[in-house]
Amino acid sequence: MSDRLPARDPLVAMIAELREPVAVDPGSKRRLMDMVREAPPPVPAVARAAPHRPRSQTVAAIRRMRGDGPRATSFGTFATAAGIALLMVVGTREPSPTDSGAVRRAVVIGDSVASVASAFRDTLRIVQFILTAPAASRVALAGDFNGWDTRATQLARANGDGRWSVTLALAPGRHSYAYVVDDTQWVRDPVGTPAEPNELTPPKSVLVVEKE
Amino acid sequence: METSDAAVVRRVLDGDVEAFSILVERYYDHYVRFAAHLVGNREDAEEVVQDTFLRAYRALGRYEERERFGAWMLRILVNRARTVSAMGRRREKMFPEQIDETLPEAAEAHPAERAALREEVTRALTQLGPDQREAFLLHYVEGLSYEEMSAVTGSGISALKMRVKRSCERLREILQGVNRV
Repeated sequence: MSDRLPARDPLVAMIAELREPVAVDPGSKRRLMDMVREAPPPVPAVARAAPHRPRSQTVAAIRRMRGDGPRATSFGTFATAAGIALLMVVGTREPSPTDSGAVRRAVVIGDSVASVASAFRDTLRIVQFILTAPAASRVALAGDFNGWDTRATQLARANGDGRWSVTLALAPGRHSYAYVVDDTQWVRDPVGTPAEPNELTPPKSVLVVEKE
Repeated sequence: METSDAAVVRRVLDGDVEAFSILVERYYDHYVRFAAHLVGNREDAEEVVQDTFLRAYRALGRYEERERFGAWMLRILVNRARTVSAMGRRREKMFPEQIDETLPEAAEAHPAERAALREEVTRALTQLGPDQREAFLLHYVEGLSYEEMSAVTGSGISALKMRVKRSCERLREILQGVNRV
């Protein structure tokens, strides 16, 4: 709480004036939300709980990798550089008219831990899966990372535009996956890499999560 | 549906991007006002606030519910405002004609007196140093306690008390000097 001022204090009128509302550009909030929709989704805290190397060990490893030696003493400088280098995008092709209204994207959006340095080599990566399916009532993601359990990973519907999404922390490597619409329809990701056809299994896609 | 800040944050983190607009509606205008007083003009203020919301959105996973969401946002905003002020990209200050369009006119009983007060207040505020202006606004306009101010600014409580005290003394000098003219 702020200290009380005497009623005759000249600051009282000044503070009242400073508390008056200001007029805001009516389009500014809409523009802000447009930018928010374009921004990478926030990384949930649960993903940031992934195991990571002790900081000192990681910094030492980075020095070796970069060949900087003892001169590379700025942890913050490194973290910034690594954060840029570690971002990558997989399968972001825009939907084509032949996609029949179903656009699926798997996007690697960053690292799974708050400290970028700790995620340098062998930690998890954050992957966002997006499916546009306006008519769907439920969408799930099944893959080798969840034992192909069609109930384990449900996508959340975004308001209005028919998009469903879920964000997972995946280990680097090759992953097979598919979407399951309304509990029955298995959907391969047409913008990802299709898995080799197999008559005995539903259509699947393959996502390769790089280490960095 | 629960619409507390923490509940909205959880919805956004669960993939409901549109829920973020609840937070925008809840805080945007208030922060533009605060930022305008802090950086001295509305153009920079809107830029600071937009940048603050975008940074907050990206960092939403790091928000911890034990902290007030508004205070968490304010910490980001203050840092952005400091950066913009330090860059000094737009040196022009709020001149009276800008103030006229910044504040609503409908409720004004005496527009001329009101405009004069705005000009006086703005000029007094711009004569404070950045740290004193920030401390004064956080304490007296935003109503933050010194403990909350310390969390927002990263400064110690005794230093903040001193800044507030000196800003009040300086502002009284300025305002009383104006009134004597």
